[in-house]
Amino acid sequence: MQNNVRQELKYLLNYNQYLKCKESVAVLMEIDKHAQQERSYPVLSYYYDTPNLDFFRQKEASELKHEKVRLRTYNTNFNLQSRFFIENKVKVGDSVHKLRHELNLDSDDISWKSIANDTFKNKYYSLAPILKVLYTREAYNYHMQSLRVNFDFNISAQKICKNNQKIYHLLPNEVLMEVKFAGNSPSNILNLLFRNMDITNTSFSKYFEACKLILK
Amino acid sequence: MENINETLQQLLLSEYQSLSLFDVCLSLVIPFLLSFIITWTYKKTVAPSTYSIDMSRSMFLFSVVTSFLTLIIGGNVARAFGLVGALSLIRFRTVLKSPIQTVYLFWSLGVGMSCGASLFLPAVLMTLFGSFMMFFLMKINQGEDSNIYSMIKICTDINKPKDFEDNILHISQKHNLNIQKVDSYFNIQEDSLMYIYQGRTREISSIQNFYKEIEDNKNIKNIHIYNNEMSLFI
Repeated sequence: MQNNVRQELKYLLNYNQYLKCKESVAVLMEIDKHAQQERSYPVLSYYYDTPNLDFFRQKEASELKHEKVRLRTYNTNFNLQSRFFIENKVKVGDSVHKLRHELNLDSDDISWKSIANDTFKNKYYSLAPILKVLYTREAYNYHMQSLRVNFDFNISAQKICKNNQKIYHLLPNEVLMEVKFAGNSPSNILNLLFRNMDITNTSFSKYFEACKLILK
Repeated sequence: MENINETLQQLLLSEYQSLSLFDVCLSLVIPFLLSFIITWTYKKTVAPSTYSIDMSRSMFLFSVVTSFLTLIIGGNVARAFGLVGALSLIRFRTVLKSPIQTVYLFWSLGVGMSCGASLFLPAVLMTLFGSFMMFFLMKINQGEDSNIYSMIKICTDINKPKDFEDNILHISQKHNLNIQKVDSYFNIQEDSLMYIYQGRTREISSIQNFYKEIEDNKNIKNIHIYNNEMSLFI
């Protein structure tokens, strides 16, 4: 089980800003090793929540502490080779604490629905998968991953339900940039990277926005 | 003491001012018309990346609603306190893209208040002067930074001479390029040392000359220079 604490800053960029940020990030930072020939890779997450949607409500009530539980894979075709991770992310302010556990799942294994309950049985009760979120990620690392910049685009969400196959698009014309770092803020590097870019950090949770779009 | 009591009673229990339909219409229509000038100035003077249509429409409503509120408060202190309580329910939590947006909202608020208090002349003058001021500042490029900033990444051999950094600094000074070290680290994969600098100069040619002189240095494996405003890639 991996366990780490880091800070996260999020920015919403239009396409022009994305191109500018990407250009300067690509000069200083190296592309993530997960990316193959193309510079990006898909990310698929299944989000779990309680029957009362407690995790969603925490965020809706703007509580300082938000939690989420998700199953994540980097291969969108469910097959035997896929690696699965069950993650518990606890966010207090900008600081994120993430617990990550790799799983061995078979392709026809339906135990993934209950896997969150089994893994975190001491912490949460009756977690069930609510929705899935799929997006394309372009990630860059700086010096031993002390700083990481992700660009997430084509973010789409779908409710986990047999009858409802409707796909919802989050941020159709924007790119979500996430800046993650451990320890002190690398403000000198960030100033150098995003000088005169007119970008302001904001808050954006994929699970919360998808829930809002789908459930309302 | 009686005097104070009387004044307080007068303040707190003042009667409704009788407002004519014409006064009310004037207090709503004038801030609406003045908002056209404010939003037009906003559109023309703000950077296109920060312009927002929502913001532009908010300014109309903001000035008209402020004028309306000022009108209904009139001279009544009790109503003013009541409204402070009621309005504190509204929380503005949206992140504004740039500080200038807050100031534009403040401008709408000022114009709205003035119209609500039936002070139409100051409202018109403030709108015209504010607009003139913004265009004038844009015309003279006030506060503009004429420096060219660049990002320099140098990848060197581990066995570089000790005075390598001083040497780089010396070359940059020779070409009027002001450089400042931001970070340096050891890159295991490439088995080399990385230096990251921020460069500042007034002419683009000094960056090019610096690059020409430094690229022949046998200790340097590769060098990247990038400027995000001018799309300069070396």
